[in-house]
Formats: sequence, structure tokens, C-alpha cells
Amino acid sequence: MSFPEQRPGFHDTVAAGVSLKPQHFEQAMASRLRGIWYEVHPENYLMQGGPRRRGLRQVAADRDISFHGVGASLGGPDLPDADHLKAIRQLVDDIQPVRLSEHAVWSSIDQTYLAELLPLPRTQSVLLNLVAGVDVYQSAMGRTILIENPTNYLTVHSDMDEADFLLEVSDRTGCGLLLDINNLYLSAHNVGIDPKAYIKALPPKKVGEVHIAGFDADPQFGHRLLIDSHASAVADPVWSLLDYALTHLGPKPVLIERDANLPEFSVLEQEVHRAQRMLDRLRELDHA
Amino acid sequence: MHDPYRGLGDFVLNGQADGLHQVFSGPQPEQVAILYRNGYLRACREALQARFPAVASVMGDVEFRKVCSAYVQASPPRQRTLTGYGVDFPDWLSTEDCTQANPGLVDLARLDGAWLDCLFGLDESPLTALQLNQLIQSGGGFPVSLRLPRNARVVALGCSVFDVWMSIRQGEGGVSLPTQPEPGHALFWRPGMTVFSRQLGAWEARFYLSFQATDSLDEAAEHFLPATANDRDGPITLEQYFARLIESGLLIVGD
Repeated sequence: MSFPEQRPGFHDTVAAGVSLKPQHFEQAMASRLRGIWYEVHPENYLMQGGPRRRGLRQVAADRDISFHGVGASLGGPDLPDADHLKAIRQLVDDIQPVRLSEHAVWSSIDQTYLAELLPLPRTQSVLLNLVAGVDVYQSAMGRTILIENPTNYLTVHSDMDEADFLLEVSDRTGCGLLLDINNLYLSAHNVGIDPKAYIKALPPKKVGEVHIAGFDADPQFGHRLLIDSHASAVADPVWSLLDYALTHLGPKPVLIERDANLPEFSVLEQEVHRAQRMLDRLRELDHA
Repeated sequence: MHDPYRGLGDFVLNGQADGLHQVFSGPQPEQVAILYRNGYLRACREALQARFPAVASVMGDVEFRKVCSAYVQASPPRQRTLTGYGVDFPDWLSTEDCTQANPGLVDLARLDGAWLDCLFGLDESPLTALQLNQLIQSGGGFPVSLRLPRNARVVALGCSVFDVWMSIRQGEGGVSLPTQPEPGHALFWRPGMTVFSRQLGAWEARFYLSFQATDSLDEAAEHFLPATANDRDGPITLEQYFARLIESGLLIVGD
């Protein structure tokens, strides 16, 4: 079965965006950054009403929104929860996000939600679970989604490389990929993945969105283990890897992910502006 | 049989590390995998703190963490979002030792929970005096069906903690909770984007509970008592009370 691709947005050009939090609703609507778009976790907006949901609706009225789900447990032992899918779909119909994504992880077992993005062993049986989960999710949403590469803190038992694993899922389901550069950088640091080989393995047309974020050193292990905290500014090596990725992939929507330790919105806009300049330079080179 | 999920699932939920080797290669994976368990517990605790800020404030960090750990073990999240996590936390809290000497904590939890449920409840436009007037004058007559907003909550309390709860929510510290039983009720409602709340006297509680259960203002009005010396707000007539309901945004034209 094939589904429509992403919904057309307010802007034609590929642009940079940032995670949207309720305390920034007003600034988000007032931002003058050309083409800025916003990402939310739909699970934070499943209430029936109230100021949070209204605020999202107001921002979505003239800014592109991308939904980045965290609760579907796409690769888990059970198919995504039907009630959860129904709630997400209702929100999708209300807000009409330009893109919809989830994670190539699992987070639920025996109907208990583990509230963490848990790593998938890259085996054939788990691949089939992930394919089934993506199929069900896309059917429920009536559109294709993007699936994000995980952060690796430990080496999981595997029959295949992570890039091959995700591409196989993409080929079987028609879903696209969301390349999280920070996750890739951390995985390279923590378990030794080759990030550039990983990026080169991805056909550009498969990648629908790119994320960067800040990380922190683990309190116990220090810099031997880097944590995907989304609580800091994006580090220079991640910016460099983003540059490499965009050179290979071409211009893609780039998201600055920030979920904790929130600075002023203007600080986030500076990071958005930096990403936007990278995209603009790419376009200039393309046209040169 | 190899189960790629059970090993890590058991570790996250219960700290049992035996099955981690089914998922991860390398020695002592639990030393790093603990970040998943800590992340799970922290996310649940933060969700509970967001839902029960007054309880967290009164308990203090150490005690609240302990209580959260116990609750998460007893009642792990079932929905795929933590935004609504903790609906049964007040009932569970009432069975815990820490509330035997401090029963007001349970009431604080009920008030916190009701406030958030009201905030996240359905948006509805209340009947205004102008609309009522227009309805009557246009020949439409008096709306026969009126009800409370679906976001309204009536909370039963065991102690007289409402004023203390308000103080805590407004940032006041050093409050002490009453310990003597003094049953009462509180009402929460949201006509726009702000939650309103107030304490209810005995007949008002019966009025709102009836109104909420039956969607019938007529039935609820049977609980309206003529003014008494003990009435919190002073002598009022039924008509005046009805006007107050409209003014407060408590009436919705029924479906």
C-alpha cells in the first residue's frame, strides 16, 4: 500500500527549525527567521483542550509543524497501541503537520510503557517487528512517516549494520529516514560506528529530515560515554558532521532539538540561523 | 527462547540484569544500561511532579522521590504518554504509611490532579448573559438543557486543605496541613483558558454533584437551600444563584 508523502508547507524552500515548547509559543509565532518551522512531540499534546493545545494550533496556523513521535514503540514485541494511534491521528488531522516521524526503537512491553527509547537488536526477527510496526503506524496515519536512527550506548547483538537495517525497513514499508546527526555522532563515540560511512550509505532521496542536538558527558563515566540529553547547545563536531551530511544528502529540513535546560528563544534562533546559513550556502553551490 | 526484549524490559522495570546479555554484547552491560532504568524512573517522577506539584512541595525532594519510586513500581505507566500519568496516585497514596500521620497529603493530591484534569479538559464556550437574553428575546425561549462544562471537576476532601493548597500553588512555603478530619468539596472549572476553583459548602457540593451526574439543572436545584446563617456567601435566592452560575461561566447549553 502506498501513502501520500508529506503535506505541502507554508514555504517552498528547505529550511531549519527548532523544537517548540509551550513557554515559547508567543516568540515562535513572532519569529522573523525565514521559513522557520517547529517540531513537537505529539504525545505532549494529546489532551482534549486547554492552553497548550490551543497554543500549538495557533502556531500551526501560519508555521510548518513537524510531529516527532516518541511513544509508538515501532520495533517492539507488540504492534503499536491502537488507542495511541487513534489519539495521534486525531491530532494529525487537527494540526496537519508537514512531516510525521517516529523512532526505530521500542518502548513498551506487556502493555507497560517504559518511557525510554530502547535499542533494537538488529536481527531478522526484530526487523520484521519494526516493519510491521511501521506498516501499522503508516496505515493509521494515512501517510508515510520517517524513522529515526537511535543513539547507541552499548553494542547490541546484530546481524547487520544499522544503516542497512533501517534501509531494509524503508524498502519494505515505503517509509523515509530521519537522520539524527547527534545520535550518529554519539553512537560513533560510544560504540565505534563510522559516521561518514553511515551517511554515505544513505541514498539522499530516502532522508526526509535531519536533526542535530546537544549532548552531555555521563555523570559516572565522564566523556567516555556521551548522553543524548538535548539539554545543551549543539557541539562543534556535530555541526561539522551536519556539514558533511548535507554535502552528501543535499539540502534537507534541519531541526535544532532542544528538550531540556531551555535557554531564551533568541538563543535557539541563533542555532536555527546557523543551520539556515549552511542550507543557503549549499543552494548557492548547487546553482554555481 | 531468545527474547530480545524481555531482558532489557525486566532491567528497566525491576533492575534485574540477568537478561541483558540477550541484548548487549560486552561485559557488565548493566553498568551503562542503568541509564535506561534511571531515565524511565526520572521521566515518571517528573510526570508525577508536574501533575502533583503541591504534594511534591510539601513532601520535599527526598520523600517525594521515595514515594514516586514506590508508586512507579506499583502502578507503572500504561499509556504511551506520561502527560496523564498518575490518575490513581491519590488513591494509592491513601494506602501508604506516610499519609497515616498526614492525611492532608491525599487531599492535596486530589486537588492537584483535578486542577490539571480541568486544564487539559474539553474547551467549551459557556452561556453568557447576553446570549441568554438574545435566546429569550428571539423567541427561542429559555434553553431547556443546561449543563456544567465537561472540564469541570468536583473533588471530595477529607480535611480542610483547600486554602492551604491555594497557598502552596501560589508559592508560599512553610505551610502546615490540617490533620483533623473535616469533609468537604472543591470545584474546578475552566470557562476560557484559566482554571478557576473554589471551596463548596455542603449543599453546594450536593448541587454540583447532582448537576454533573444528571446534566439537569432542575434536579440539581432541588439541592439548593434557602439562605442560612452558615451559608459561606451570604443570603441568596435561587435566581441570584443562577445569575452567579452564568457570571462564572459554569453553564453550557446542552447537546
